[in-house]
Formats: sequence, structure tokens, C-alpha cells
Amino acid sequence: MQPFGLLLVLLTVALESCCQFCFKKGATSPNAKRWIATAISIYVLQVITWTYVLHLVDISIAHPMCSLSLVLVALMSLIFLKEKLTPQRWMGIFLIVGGTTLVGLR
Amino acid sequence: MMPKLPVQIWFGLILAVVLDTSVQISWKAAEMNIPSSATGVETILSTLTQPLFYGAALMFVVQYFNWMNVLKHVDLSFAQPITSLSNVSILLLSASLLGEDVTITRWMGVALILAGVWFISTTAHKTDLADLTNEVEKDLSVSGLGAK
Repeated sequence: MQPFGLLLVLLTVALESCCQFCFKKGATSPNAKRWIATAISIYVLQVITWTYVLHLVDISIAHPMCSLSLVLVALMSLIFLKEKLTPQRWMGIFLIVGGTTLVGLR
Repeated sequence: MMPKLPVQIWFGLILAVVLDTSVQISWKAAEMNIPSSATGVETILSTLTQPLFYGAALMFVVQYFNWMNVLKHVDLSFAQPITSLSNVSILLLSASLLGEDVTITRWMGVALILAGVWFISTTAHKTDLADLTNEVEKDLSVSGLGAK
């Protein structure tokens, strides 16, 4: 796999996580419009990087890597949204990341 | 006692999975029509000429309103992992429609994802702190101290 492709996957993961965070802020905060506009802009960027990724990287590698956004989103939810992440929720998240990886294997 | 997840939120989460599955499949189908030799600009331009792209875009608009409604009522760290169920639905769809082989490894992955979603569904769908704030606001408005 090209290192550039790998880098693009990581960029997509970061964009996806920020996008979800902004949507959550848009759904709950008084400054809804600004957050939603930011979320949609990030989403557009993400669509572009993901389209590139599908060209450069095998989907069986790219897709499981995208599930890393679950971990990043969980961390952002914990730190910035003050959500309560119980051990059960972390357990669920890691099981899903593991499961997604296995599903992606050929 | 854990608050019960309202039925319409369960419905919203399931709808999110269904839409995500449809968007991803049409997106991939549209993308498969583009030669891999295409440059960045060519890729974007030929994507824009695909009918499937517009189908996916329409589903995305529905997804947007549905997702905002879900996020209004539940934690992001609760809702987002549950949508990973689309990995399972995509696998089952490609197995039944495209005759793709489902190996034991993949079935194990499906089992892990289902177990993970089950674990998350046992947690409170909204952080207590948020509920507490709502309670405080309710108390304030009852006592006439809260903003109208």
C-alpha cells in the first residue's frame, strides 16, 4: 500500500471524527448553525479524501481502519462533551473495532 | 435505574444503519465505474455525472435530518458505534446479492460487532450529567428563576 494512501485514510478518520463531533454540537448547542455549517464543510472534504482512498487503498484495509474513528469520537465525547464512558461502553467500542477488522479481512 | 431508550430513537438508529448501508453500496457502485487511472479532478467530475451519486446524495439528506434527531436525544459515544451495524448489513447484502463468500473469520467479526452493540445498548443512552442539567432547569422554571 502506498504511504500516501495510508495517510489519506488517517486524514479521513480524523475528518470523520471532527464531523461527528460538530453534528453533535449542532444538534444540542445554541450555536447550532455554525456547528452544522462546519460539520457539512468537513463532510464534503471527507467525501473527497474517501473517494481518493477507495482508489489507492484496498477497501478491506481502508474500511476497518475507518472504525478507528469510533475510538477518536469516544475520546472527544469524553473530553469535550463530558459524556460518561462506562467500561461497558468502551468494551462495546473495542469489540466493534475488532469485529469490523475481522469482517474486512479477505 | 437506567432510562429506557424511546422507541423512535431505536427506529432512528435502525434507519441510520439502513441509509448508511444504501449510501455506501451506491457510492461504491458509482465509484467502480471510474477508471483507477483517473486524476483527482477527473474523479470528481466523473463522480458528478453518475446517477447513483445523486441517489446517494438524496439518501444523505434524509440521513442528515434523522441523525440530527438521534443526536439530540442520545450520547454521541452511544449512537455512533451502533451505526457500525452497517458493516454487518453490507456483508450480508453482498453475500446474498453478489454471492460473496462469507468466511468463518468474517462470521466471527459479525459476532464481535453484535456483541459490541449489545454492550453499548446496556449503557445509559444519555449521560446523567445532561439529565441532571435538565432537572435543574425544570426546577428553576418551576420556581420562576429560569429563563423563559
